[in-house]
Amino acid sequence: MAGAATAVAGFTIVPRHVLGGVGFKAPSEKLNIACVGIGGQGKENLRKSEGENIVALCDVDWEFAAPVFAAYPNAKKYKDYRKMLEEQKDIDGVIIATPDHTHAVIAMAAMKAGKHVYVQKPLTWSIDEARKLTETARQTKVATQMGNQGHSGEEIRVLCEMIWSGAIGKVREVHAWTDRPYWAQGILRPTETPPVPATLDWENWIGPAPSRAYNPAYHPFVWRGWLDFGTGSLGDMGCHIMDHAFWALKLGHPTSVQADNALRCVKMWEKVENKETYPDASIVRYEFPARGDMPPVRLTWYDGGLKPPRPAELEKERTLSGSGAIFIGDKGTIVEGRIVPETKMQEYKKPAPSIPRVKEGADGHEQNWFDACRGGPAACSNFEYAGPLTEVVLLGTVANRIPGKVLEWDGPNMKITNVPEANDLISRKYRAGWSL
Amino acid sequence: MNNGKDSKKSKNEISRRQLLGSAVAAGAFTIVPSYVLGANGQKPPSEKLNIATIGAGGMGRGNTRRCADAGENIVALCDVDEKKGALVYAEYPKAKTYKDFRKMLEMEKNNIDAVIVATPDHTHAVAAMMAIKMGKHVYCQKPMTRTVYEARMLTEAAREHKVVTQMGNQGHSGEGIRLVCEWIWADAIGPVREVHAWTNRPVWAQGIDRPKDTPPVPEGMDWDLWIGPSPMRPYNPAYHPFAWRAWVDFGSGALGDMACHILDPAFWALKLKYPVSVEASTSTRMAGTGWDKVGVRETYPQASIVRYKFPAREGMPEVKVNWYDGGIMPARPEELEPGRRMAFGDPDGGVLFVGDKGKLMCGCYGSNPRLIPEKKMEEYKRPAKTLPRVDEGTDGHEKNWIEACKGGPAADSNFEYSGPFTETVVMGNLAMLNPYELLEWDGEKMKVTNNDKANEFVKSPYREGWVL
Repeated sequence: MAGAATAVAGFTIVPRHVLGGVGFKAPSEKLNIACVGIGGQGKENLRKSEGENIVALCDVDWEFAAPVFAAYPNAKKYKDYRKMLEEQKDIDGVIIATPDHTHAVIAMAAMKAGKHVYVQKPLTWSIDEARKLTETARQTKVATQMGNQGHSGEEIRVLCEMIWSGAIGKVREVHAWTDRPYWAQGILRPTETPPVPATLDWENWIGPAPSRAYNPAYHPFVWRGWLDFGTGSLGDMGCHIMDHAFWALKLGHPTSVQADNALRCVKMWEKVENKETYPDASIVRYEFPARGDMPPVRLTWYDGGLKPPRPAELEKERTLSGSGAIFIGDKGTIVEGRIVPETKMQEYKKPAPSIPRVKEGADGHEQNWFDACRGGPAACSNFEYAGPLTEVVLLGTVANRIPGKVLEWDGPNMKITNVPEANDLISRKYRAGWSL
Repeated sequence: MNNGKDSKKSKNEISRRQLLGSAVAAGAFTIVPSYVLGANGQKPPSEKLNIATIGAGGMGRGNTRRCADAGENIVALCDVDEKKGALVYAEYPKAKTYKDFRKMLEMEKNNIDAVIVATPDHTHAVAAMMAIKMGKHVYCQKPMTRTVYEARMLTEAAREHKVVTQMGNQGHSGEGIRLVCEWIWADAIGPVREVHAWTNRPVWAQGIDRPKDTPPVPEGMDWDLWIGPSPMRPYNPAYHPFAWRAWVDFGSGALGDMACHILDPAFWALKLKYPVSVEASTSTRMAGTGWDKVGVRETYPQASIVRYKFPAREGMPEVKVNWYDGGIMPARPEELEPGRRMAFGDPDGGVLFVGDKGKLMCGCYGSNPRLIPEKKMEEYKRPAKTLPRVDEGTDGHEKNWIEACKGGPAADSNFEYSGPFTETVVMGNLAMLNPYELLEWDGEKMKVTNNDKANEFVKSPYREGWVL
């Protein structure tokens, strides 16, 4: 497995303690864990971290965070992660589960302070941030993990093993989709300016993004739809759903990407341009070059209710799930992890497992990182893997902001070569007082 | 009636008959000049038609204008909205004006030869049917009807009453659609197994909830008549004018609006009739802070993909026809040169035909067809133009109908063609309202065979007082 995984995305396989990295604890010791952004997804990550010492909790919204603070009374409470990192030196690892736009600054500060990091997906808001976090992780040698917990699961491993053993021949076409958003997109910026709740530090919620007035249209949760803060349906779900293709097909950088947006009208003949939020629905088409003995492949992403064509082999009474992927090979088709038709799957003899399993699968994703923090092998979705995966996902997000145009991508140089203005979306200028 | 024979002898007529010969194969055109069949009310070419327009204030205005310009008499005009109607009424001071088409047809039955129907989709069928049953010739805007059943009934009634019909898909009279047919029939791209068609519509709000406010009905507007056979609901400017297209009770969405133009070259060139299956996926829209979907089954979605499958036909293989709207487009073919736009920049939409030996792209109405890449177009030796042309092309679409009303051959988008075509277009809305399910279609029986719920929309019940 290690050999294959290295080929895929350069996994580090040498146990950390051998490299003499910073702050790796002995397997017998408990880790001191901090979490930034605890009111949402962080709560779930914390629940799975209860075997370690939860020493510090940070959230800009103390009302939203209150039940989580209450659940861990021994942890110190913070509003500002910078203060937390400054004041509390006993932290071994930091879980970051804030909105997308603040992942990078927090993860970067933690890594530079020698902390291991577990960062929710997508790793970052911009491609440039993903590249920089990956580089910093490499330099600081901290243990990293992105919160795409499916990467620790059984399903993705079985899929890789099936595809690598030729179950459906060479794959030239992949479709991946989600039924998200479950929140409003394709909308305009609210004009009303309700007062900021007393319990919320709005300045720090905004972080490095451009300043704007508080509105419940952004927080909690619904920030995902807004260009300045979130990464839309694709950013939310792409790191889960495209993960399978990225690993199984050893994708790396695409050569081009192109998106179509559902465009809304409020008045006759006037389409609302998505200058503020991502669209209600989109299709994003990626082209990947040949990799080793694998042929070029087109990956098509659908969200907002749009779905790929039904494969001819899919039984007519079946419908596609809310989220999933289809792999179309020269010799067969896999829908949501199974060969279709199901009779063919039943006849199929799966290859012997060759990729090591993560204990408890997707539920063991945090533990997989803790093991790395204690000097074990790199976590399975460490940044050497998750960084490039996130870049691919976020390139689609860029395409969604310039719909209808084919964007040619020079991955190694992180540059869109044919639409110069699109490069403004690869990184962003941070608000004064913030830097990566 | 005998007067019609003169026109039959013209050169134009002979070539028309050749056209109709091939068109019969395509879509069962009526090829016999209607006067031969002893149809009602055909006038000799020397006489003027007396024309009435229902829904004169919208699309009907242009149709009426072209008939008047052709020299016909505009004798009656009808619109439920006095204000919208007034602009048109002023142009034809001699025409009598009405709000209720039933009253107009009753009062003017001895004065009218032919009727233009250009109301919102939900009243096409009742208006056209009444006219047909009275033996009036009918020019009906596209889509011919809002439901499959209505299209079938109108087609049958037109046949039974032997009236002259035309659907207002004016592109059908154009040059582009003929070139598409001739090239595909001449094997320019080999057998076609895949078609992609798209539009920029809707350019009005879809994926929205029913408005809750109930503003007063504007002065001069008969809301009850506007509602016609559909379920009653309070007036709102969200429906009238024009925005009715979005609403399931009144319109047929982006598909109904534009597929009668955009899919027309596919339907004709590929000799399509009924699909064997259809499936759709549709965009969803979320309310405010999330978790609630907006506008489900109330309006058509903001964006959709509809995938039809047609069986093999007359030496042509099974073909998948995919429809995209609301900003969603098919994948760009690799044969299209970088920088060259889909449908060569036609904002309304276009079609990509994927053949075993090449690809052909055109705009809306079949306009500007080209083989791609352009190099292939330049090398292509075009076949002879075997399909007769309509004088003035798309602008001659009304005149094409007028000539038929005067005993010429059937109009080119008469209901024998446009009825089944409309059925196929609007049955896509069954999938739109029941997304993600594979709906198997028995076209002859007008029935989804594997999903009862989807059959709800094949035929909509009419409000009390309305019948077809």
